[in-house]
Amino acid sequence: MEENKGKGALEDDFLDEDEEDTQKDKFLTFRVGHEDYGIEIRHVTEIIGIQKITAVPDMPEFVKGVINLRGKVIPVLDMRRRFSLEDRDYDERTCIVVVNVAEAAVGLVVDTVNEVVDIPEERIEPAPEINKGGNNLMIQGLGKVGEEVKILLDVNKLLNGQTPEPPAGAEQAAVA
Amino acid sequence: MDLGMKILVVDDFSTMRRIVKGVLRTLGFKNIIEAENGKMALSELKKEEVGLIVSDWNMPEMTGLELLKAVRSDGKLKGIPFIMVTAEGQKENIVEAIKAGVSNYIVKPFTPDTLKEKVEAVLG
Amino acid sequence: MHDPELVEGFIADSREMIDEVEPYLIELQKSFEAEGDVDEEILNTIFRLFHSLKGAAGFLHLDNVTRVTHEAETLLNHLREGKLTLNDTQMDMIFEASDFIRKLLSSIEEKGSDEGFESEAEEIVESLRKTIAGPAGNISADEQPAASNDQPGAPPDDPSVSPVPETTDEEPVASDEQLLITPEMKKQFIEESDELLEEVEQNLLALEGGEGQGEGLAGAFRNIHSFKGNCGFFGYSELERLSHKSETVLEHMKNGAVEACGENISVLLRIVDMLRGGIADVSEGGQGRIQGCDLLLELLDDMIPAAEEEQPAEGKPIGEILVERGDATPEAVESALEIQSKPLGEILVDMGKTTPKAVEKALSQQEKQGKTKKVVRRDIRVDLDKLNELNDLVGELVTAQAMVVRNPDLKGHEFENFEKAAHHLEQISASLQDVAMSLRMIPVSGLFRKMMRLVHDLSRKAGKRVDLRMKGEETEVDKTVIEVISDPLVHIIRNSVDHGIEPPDERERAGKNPTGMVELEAKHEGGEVWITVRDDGKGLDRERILAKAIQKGLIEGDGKDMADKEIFGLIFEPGFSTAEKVTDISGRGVGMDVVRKNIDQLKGRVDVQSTAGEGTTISIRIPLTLAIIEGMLVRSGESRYLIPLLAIKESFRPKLDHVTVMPGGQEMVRVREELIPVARLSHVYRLGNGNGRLDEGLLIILENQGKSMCLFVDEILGQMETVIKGLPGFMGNIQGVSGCTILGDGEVSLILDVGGLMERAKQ
Repeated sequence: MEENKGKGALEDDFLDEDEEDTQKDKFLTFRVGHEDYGIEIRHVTEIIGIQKITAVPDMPEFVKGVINLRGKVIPVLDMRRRFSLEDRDYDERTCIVVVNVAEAAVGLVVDTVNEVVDIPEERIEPAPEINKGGNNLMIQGLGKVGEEVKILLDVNKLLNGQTPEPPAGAEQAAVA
Repeated sequence: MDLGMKILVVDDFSTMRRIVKGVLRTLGFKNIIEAENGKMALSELKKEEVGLIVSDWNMPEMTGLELLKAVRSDGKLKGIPFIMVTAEGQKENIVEAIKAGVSNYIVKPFTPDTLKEKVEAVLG
Repeated sequence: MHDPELVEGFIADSREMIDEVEPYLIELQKSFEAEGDVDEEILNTIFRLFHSLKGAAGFLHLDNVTRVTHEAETLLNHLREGKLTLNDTQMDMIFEASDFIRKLLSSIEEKGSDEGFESEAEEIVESLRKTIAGPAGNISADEQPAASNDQPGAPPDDPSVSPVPETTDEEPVASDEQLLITPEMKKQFIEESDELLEEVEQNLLALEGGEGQGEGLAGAFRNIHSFKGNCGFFGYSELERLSHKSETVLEHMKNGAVEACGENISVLLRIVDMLRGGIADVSEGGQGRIQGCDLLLELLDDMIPAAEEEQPAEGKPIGEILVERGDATPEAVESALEIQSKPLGEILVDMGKTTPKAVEKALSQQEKQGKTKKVVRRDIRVDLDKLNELNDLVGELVTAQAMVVRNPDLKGHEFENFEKAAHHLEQISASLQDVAMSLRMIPVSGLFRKMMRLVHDLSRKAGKRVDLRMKGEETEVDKTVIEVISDPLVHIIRNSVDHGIEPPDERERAGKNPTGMVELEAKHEGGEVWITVRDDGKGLDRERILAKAIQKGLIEGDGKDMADKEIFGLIFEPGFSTAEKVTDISGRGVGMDVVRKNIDQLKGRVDVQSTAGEGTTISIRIPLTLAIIEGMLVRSGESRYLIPLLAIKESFRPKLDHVTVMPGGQEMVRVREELIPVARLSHVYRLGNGNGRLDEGLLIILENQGKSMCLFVDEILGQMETVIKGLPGFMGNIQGVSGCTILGDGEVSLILDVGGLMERAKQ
């Protein structure tokens, strides 16, 4: 019996067997602070506008609270806090990217959402070895798109307890 | 009795199918296929050469009785021995089944020996 | 070797079965003591239960279980047949056997087999055998129980049944007879046959309609008999054989060997149809062939029990009962049967062969016997996960519906048609919710009945006489509640029997009935389930409890100011009771603190009341549904919270001069005579800001387990009933928060757990 059909219709598209392979190289990119980040599109179920987040006690700083997603209560992480940046007021471009982590939905608050880009494997550099353990646990790799570098995140590692230093990886990758 | 013959076990409860399959195996039959309901059973019967059908009575979509009738009215399938499994308390159904041409019947709960007897009676 | 699912099912079924058996055994004993007579129906029911257990165990090759059940079954059978007289030792033996089986079931659960218990099984089998051989001495202990008809499908050797059916290769009737049969005769045969079969059908329908041994059965028998004769004369052998077999079945129904139940009657009715088919064949020129005649004969054969089998006691013919009771002679019954056109009993009275009173008594016995027919339960097994999923979805539906109906977009508009439709939708959702919730509800009777055995054993061990009474067994409770409340109930009852109820002589001296009473009651009241255990023992000793509590350091001071209720509540504190011996009766848990722990888990309360010398009453109150909560919505700063209504005592706007601030910063407010600590959510949760002045907001007095606290809020927004949702899994358990809910405007609000909140506020 299928158990996880409670999520958005978008998921059906993304998890369609035939399409999965062609999804592999596609990343949804978004901006947090001064950096661009990317997450594999196959983990993204939807993108919604920012809404009131109910705070929950006893959580790490970067867990802002929970929201109601069509009747389901899902946790929301603030990516600025995740990267140890200062809070900033939400505006009309602030979005919540809903991703699928271990069968559960999690929302990520980001400054703006950009576009879906194709980043083939050859254009992805592995995360730098230095500083591993701190920030870099969540970094899947660094993707080169034209002149720019997107920091690719591993969706499954987003919830790990450590609050990292603001990533400086981008410049290093560009040099390499 | 040809122990290599294909036997089709039809029941919507996997536990029941497992029990019947298990008993048939201890009787020496190795070639057992399963179906969850009458419809699926029919499609199996069209594909494979089946030597015996053991079917439950109560099933969704197509009952054992309907399956029996369908089998008995099909040119190719009508000769296949058919044992109907019914539950205690539903013996009147057996008469229905007999009317429709069932080869034999067995009432749950049954022992392996009883099933053996019925199978032998029907095939032997 | 065996499929784990099968084994699991077997274990669950067997446990259920043993649970069913024990109250019956106790009843059996009781009625024997009271009336000097063994209650037949109960005995039969117990026998059947053991029989089924044996069958299933055999199927799964559980030798030890099979052996023990087999011996128990033999013993029960001897009791049934009157070869043995009931006594306490036997009952004890059977209880021992069922305990042993329980043990085996646990072993099977863990290891998948019942191996390793051979010597113990042997012992029990031996003792059972000795009891069977017992005083009578001439009963062979190896005698197999007669009713070992485990093979419903196999044709038994019944000498009264006609020999193995011939092959269906029919030859036309012998030529001599053919000469005697004219077309006219044949026509008449067909007409008569149709009529006879009509009659039989009517007779069978009347029988089904409950006419017992009256016209129905006798008529059917007579008519089929005539029909058979005709068919035989005309040489239609299949018709003859089938009708003969039917006649035999009817005969056995008359003498009670075959039950005249709905199923069997239905079979016979269908056979009548088949006979009609045969006659139709004759009228079309055929030989009266019947489709599948052999199989039909086999089917009828299966209905007739093997010659040695016990006659089921259900619905024995009145005549037989009267004879058994010595209220009429067999000859009188015979002659009455011959004249039968009135109920047999009446005839006998008319003939002066028995008294009306005797007939009445016999009738009531027959009625009782008829009633022990197993009620067919229309149950199906449902995967609990699916049920939970259903309840989740229904909860979401209710939320979604609320979001539609109370949508902020609608604010200020009046849409009459919409509102009517919305109201209708709300009602349907509410009904759906009730039904979904009720699927998980189970009557407490199963749980209560288990306690019968417990009380029985405890009282015997303690040498006391205790009567267990039950009220409100049909009250339904969520499945989880039954599971969680089982242990606490056991402990409470144990407490009552061991410490509450006094020994018989002490009770007599106190002017009480030497038999003590423990009453279990369950009822629904105000959105809660109340389960009370009441005993008429010696009550709780306030001083002793106080002394023990002080000794264990559970309270400060001398407790002189504490209310009785509070002191009695101490018995549930962990650390209060010394670790009691873990006996096989209660099995686990270390005493009364299990009660508090489990009740907390259910978000319920437990209260104790007691009067010295008169008894103790322990009441457990549990919210009826775990998924819906009635709460008060409040605002503190920017956030909204829901507080369970049950925990709220009152709310008010404080005056600053009633507020005292302690040196550490803790605020206290005076409410009438009490000083209650104040908590601010912003401090307790370290969230948001709720730092306003106390007199600009409201204080809500919360109560939990006898303690009070004031919660400061900015505003009370209203009362509402809503679905509790859990917080996302990875967030774990948050102290002071029991879950969350989605409000009408779509926002999520936390639901406060008052107990946890109080704990948290202390830190």
